[in-house]
Amino acid sequence: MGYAGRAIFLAGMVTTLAAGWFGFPHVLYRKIDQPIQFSHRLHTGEQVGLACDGCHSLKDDGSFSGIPKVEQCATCHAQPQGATSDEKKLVADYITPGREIPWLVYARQPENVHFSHAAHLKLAKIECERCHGPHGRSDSLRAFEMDRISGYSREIRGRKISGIRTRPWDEMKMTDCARCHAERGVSNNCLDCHK
Amino acid sequence: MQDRITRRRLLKFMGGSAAGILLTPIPWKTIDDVAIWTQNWSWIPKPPRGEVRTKFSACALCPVGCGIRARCVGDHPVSLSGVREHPISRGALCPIGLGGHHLQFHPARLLQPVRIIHRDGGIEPVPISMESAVAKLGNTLSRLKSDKSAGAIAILDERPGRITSQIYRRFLAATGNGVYLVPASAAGSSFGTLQSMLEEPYTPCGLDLDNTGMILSFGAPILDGWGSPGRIPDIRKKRSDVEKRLRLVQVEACRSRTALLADLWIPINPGTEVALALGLAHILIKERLCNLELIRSRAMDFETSNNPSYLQLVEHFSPETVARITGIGRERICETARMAARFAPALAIGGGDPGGGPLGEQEETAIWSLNLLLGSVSAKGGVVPHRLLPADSSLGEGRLASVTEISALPDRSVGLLIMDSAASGRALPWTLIEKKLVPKESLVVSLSPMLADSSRRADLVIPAPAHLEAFQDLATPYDSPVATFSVSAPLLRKPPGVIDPVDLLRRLSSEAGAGPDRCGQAMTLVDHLKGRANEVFRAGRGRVFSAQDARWMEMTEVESGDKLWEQISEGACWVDAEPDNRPLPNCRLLGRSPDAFERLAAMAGGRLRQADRQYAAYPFVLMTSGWRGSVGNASLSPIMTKLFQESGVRDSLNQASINPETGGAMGLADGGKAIVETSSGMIRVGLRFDSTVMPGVICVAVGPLEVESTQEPRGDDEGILRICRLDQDSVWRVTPAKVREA
Repeated sequence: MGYAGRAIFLAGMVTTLAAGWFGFPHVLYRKIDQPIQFSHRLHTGEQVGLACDGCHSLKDDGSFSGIPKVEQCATCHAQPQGATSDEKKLVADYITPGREIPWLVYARQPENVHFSHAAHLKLAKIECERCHGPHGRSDSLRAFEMDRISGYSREIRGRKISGIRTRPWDEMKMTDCARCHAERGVSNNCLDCHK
Repeated sequence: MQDRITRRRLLKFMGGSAAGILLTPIPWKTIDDVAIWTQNWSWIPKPPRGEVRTKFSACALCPVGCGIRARCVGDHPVSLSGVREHPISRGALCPIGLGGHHLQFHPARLLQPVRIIHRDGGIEPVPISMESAVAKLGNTLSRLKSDKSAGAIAILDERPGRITSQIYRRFLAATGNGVYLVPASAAGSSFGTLQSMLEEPYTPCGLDLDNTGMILSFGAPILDGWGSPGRIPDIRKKRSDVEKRLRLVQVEACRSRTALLADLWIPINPGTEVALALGLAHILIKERLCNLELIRSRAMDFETSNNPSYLQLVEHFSPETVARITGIGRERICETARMAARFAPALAIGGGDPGGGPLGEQEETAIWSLNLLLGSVSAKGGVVPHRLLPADSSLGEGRLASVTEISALPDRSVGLLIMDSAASGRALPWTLIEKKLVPKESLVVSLSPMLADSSRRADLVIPAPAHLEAFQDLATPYDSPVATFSVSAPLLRKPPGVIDPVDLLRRLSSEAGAGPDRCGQAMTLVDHLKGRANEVFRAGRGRVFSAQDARWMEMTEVESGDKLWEQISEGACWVDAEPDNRPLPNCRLLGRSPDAFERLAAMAGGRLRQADRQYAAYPFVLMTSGWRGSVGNASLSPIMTKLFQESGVRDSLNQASINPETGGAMGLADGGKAIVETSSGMIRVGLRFDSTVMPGVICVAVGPLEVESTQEPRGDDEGILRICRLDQDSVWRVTPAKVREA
């Protein structure tokens, strides 16, 4: 193969590499905006001063409350707390009519996984950041990215298309659960998570 | 270089692209995602999203009735676990119960009635409407009511003692031609033998295991699916110090899981339990290890001048004689009898293996006579009487059909057989049922929610609700020392094409006009259960265990019968107060049959002696075994198949074990196939060498059936039971057999 031939071969290769690494994620993941914007930084910062469990708490029976209901938002936001369009939408569309906000949950595990927040928070004393990263300090909510083939949230299989994990919260796959369990000497039985 | 696209350049570009694509995530991520996509197809059942809640119920998969704690998402249970400190199950739930909520999705599940066409050894299920099914059953019922010569109307109930059982008995009594059948293998039927040895009624009974010093088990799987799964482990945990701990001695031909975990395993020649029980009695009497004065005053046939006495019988069973019959060393026999006296109260338990079937009447008589000698009947730590559960007053009226063991029914006498949906979890050979039917003219109707096991042999299946789809009543567990009342409350939605057996009887009465009028009293099972709750409340005794907070309440804290029902339907369990001690009635250690002495003496040489003529031709002993809830009409969660299909933790249907030396001498291969042949036929089995199996014995599993095979219309899912020999007393646990390479 002459110089020109090698150049053409390489051009084809580079084109595909670019498409695969940079274009493919845009095709694979469908971006869906959250119903309204929300600043975790504002709520957990000095101005409001809430901790994570101020809104995402464990119930009396040990189950996790998940994302708070509008009833809880209404304790402060019965009236608009500012002039932003999202604040107005929160009050007008959700709090006043008592309608739940259809949040798209980044960390939602598939149906066949049973995950107990209580066991991880209370028994293992794991910090929220260990799995959710700096989400509690984010200024805005990024678009929810849904895998068009599997239907999973991008957060589960990992935001990095390379699959290379550099931080504990980069992925939430079964191997990540199993790794953490192994590190802590906790049982890795199938039925621990797949009931 | 010329700037034009040639075919060669295009191919080079494509080659580069193809090489490059392998270095991108496109193929790998796509494969990964497609694999996940296949797990999320739309037809895979998914619980709806919803609030996570905890509900309580009771398990109705076997006669025990363990407490269930269900984690529900929305209204749908997604996981089951035991209830902490539950009076029956003591926090435990067996592996079968843990997967109970999967049964709604079982591949063999029926969602509407089916007519079954039996053809060429296979079956063809034809779906029919509920109306057609009820009409067909109603017509047959009417015909048999008017023409009694065409055969009896029988209902086979594997779980006697429930409200449903009472309704069946009343229904049958009213037909004038009805027979209420129970299998001999019902574990609680062991008490029936005790009852037959006593001069006065002494029922119901239970076992005070919390205070027992030693259990001498004759093959009962005490630690592996006998009684409540949590009870013995709980007792062993609470009484862990050496002096007080519960001793377990397991007498069994094969080293079962119970034998493995027992304090002492005594391997015994198959079918020679009568000799061992009489031999132990011989030592107890000879060494005066029991209260002979009490026995003399209670037992009417202990030593008599007119008839052959118990003493005369046991005199023949010296340790040397018993050692020769049973294959157990003389010293071991003597030591076992002394242990039973030292660790009093000792309790001898029969009942048999769920797959191996009942021990037999003579064996049970010999075991109960041992208990009477040991003073373990009507004594702390032994068999204790308890009160009857307060009955629903509406059931108190009317005549009830008497209870008949299926083996006692004349052959070819049943024109219509209705098989109830509640499974005992124990094997029941179809060959035993089949010979009771009027050939060619009988109708067999199964009420099973699954097309599996005996329902595949039926002509018509009218499915009842599956586990946790409807209220089911639970009888007091046979090992409970006091009466209990709990119900299996529904956690799942009932599909429209199924019908509760009590509702079916009502419908037969009202629509088809086939049933007796008194059964059409417009009362559902729930009405009867509520009625019982009111009666329990009126009785005013006992305590109520609340599953939600593991708290006990005195009956004085319960406001009304309706409140009690509310609690019971939310997983609570009523436990009766301990009754006043009732004196033991006079008894007959040989049983009340006029030829009891001869029958016991004949069986004492072992069950195989009766087949001497066949013995030379069939040198092996075929024994069957099973795990409660995985054999017979019971169905396992498909996920449970991991236990036997993948991990090999449990043997599956027709998996055989044989001693390596025996197998090697026969030229058989470990992991290979073999043909087991008896006088009733032959069957192909998978073979595994196991040094814990006695030489000359082949142990074959009766179940569980592999799940995928239940989808196939096969006619042979009874497996090994088909070729087991049924003795005169319908016992099939030892069969002469021969084995050869397949």
